[in-house]
Amino acid sequence: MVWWNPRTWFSKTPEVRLVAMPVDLNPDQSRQLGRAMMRYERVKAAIRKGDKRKELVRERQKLEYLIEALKK
Amino acid sequence: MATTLNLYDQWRDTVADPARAAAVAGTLKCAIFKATYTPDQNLHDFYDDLVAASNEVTGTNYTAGGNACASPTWTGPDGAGLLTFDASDPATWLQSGTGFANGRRAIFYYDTGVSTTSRLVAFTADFGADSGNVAGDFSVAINAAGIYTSPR
Repeated sequence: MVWWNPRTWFSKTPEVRLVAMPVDLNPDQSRQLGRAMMRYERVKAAIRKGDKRKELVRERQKLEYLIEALKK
Repeated sequence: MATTLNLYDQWRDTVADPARAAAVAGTLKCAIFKATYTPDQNLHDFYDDLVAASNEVTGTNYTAGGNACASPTWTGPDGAGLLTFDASDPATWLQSGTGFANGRRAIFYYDTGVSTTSRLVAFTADFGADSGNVAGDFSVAINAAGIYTSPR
């Protein structure tokens, strides 16, 4: 009797890539606003996901003020 | 001015292992270094490799070790599977006639208070010119897309 030994293999090794983003030196107001709005969305998402750090709630508030100020 | 940010290989090594990643301690900070610091992307792993005593900028309104980037967060995955590591921008270094004028790179790292255990995260490309807070405020803003991302 011939036994067939089944094997499984990955056709491709999955990869975890980390991609660094460029930083801005002395950004102008429109870039500051863009950055603040994106950061605000992420902080909100982290809070919604259950991150209970008080600093995040404070940061969300700070970003709200900053966005208002930058929009003026 | 947009400046390339590079992750230290040793940081990727840390993030790749859940046990090592969980052990990362300290405060995420952004420090400014002079042209005398030459990054070794492959081998530098802790803050002591930067030799801050001689390579970090000094001047009024700049505190050794740099400024904190509060509330680091991993968010996502979004609908396309993108994960994003982000934090608050470091506080602006306010203008001073006796500030620093020779900053050439920003370094992101986790400060534990001990240089030999403070893990390096990323370094920017050379700014291309000496920069600082002598002529005006100096700020480093993290990209709107975050510090780094992990795509699907």
